[in-house]
Amino acid sequence: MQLANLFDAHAPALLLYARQWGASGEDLVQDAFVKLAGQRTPPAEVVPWLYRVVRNAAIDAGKLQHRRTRREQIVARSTAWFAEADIEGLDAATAADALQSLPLEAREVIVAHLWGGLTFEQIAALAGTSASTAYRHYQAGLDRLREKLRVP
Amino acid sequence: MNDTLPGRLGSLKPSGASLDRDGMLFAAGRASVKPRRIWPALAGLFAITQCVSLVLLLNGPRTRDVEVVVDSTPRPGTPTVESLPAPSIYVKALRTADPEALPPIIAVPAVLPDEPIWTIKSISSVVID
Repeated sequence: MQLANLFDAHAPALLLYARQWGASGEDLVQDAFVKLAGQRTPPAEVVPWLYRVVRNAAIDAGKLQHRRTRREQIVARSTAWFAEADIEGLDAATAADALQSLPLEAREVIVAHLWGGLTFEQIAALAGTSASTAYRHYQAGLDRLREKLRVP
Repeated sequence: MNDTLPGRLGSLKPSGASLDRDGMLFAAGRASVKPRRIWPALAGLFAITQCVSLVLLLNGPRTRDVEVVVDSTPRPGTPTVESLPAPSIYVKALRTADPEALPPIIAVPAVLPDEPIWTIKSISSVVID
């Protein structure tokens, strides 16, 4: 049941990651795990591999959804990103809205690092950039979130 | 309680309620099975050979007239009925019990060829053609 454990541990974060491209990522996440199960030789780093597969699929799905109206995208995104409504004085919906207001580059790094547990080197390899650039996006995104959420 | 923003954000757990865990495991189980293509390939090959055989059988000649020519002229050196000694000579020799009185044995050449006339190969060639 290694795949099931992997799914339990990483699927919700992968879903949140896929949603950064405006895709309803349930199918994308599921397909990534199915693709992993079909691999003859498992990838060396499974979790970054899953993020890469989801990222590519989400980008493709985001292109297909480009024609949809902005409103439909907002409705799709507003489906609860987080399991709890409020934790440690931080409202989950407010946090999700603040996260949505960030540029995609910053959102991708923040989600992959905070909830996916990927290192900046892994995120850089994923996004095709350098680790320093990924870290810069991360810090810039956090600064904007601090302003919006008024959290130090 | 983590007061920093990354800590507080990280404490929010992403929602996975909309994910179909069982559906994923079912699909993953199906995807992990390596398809065996040898049996379908063999069945297809046999089906093709059957079709080819059927076409050949239906389009080929069904019967073939075989004309057998029998040469009735005696070969030179073959003893004829007239050249053989009369049976009475043998009867007389048997009665006298004198083997010397028997006429000399005439060597009869082989009438049948060394190899069989009909073989499985020749028969099958006739039937198939």
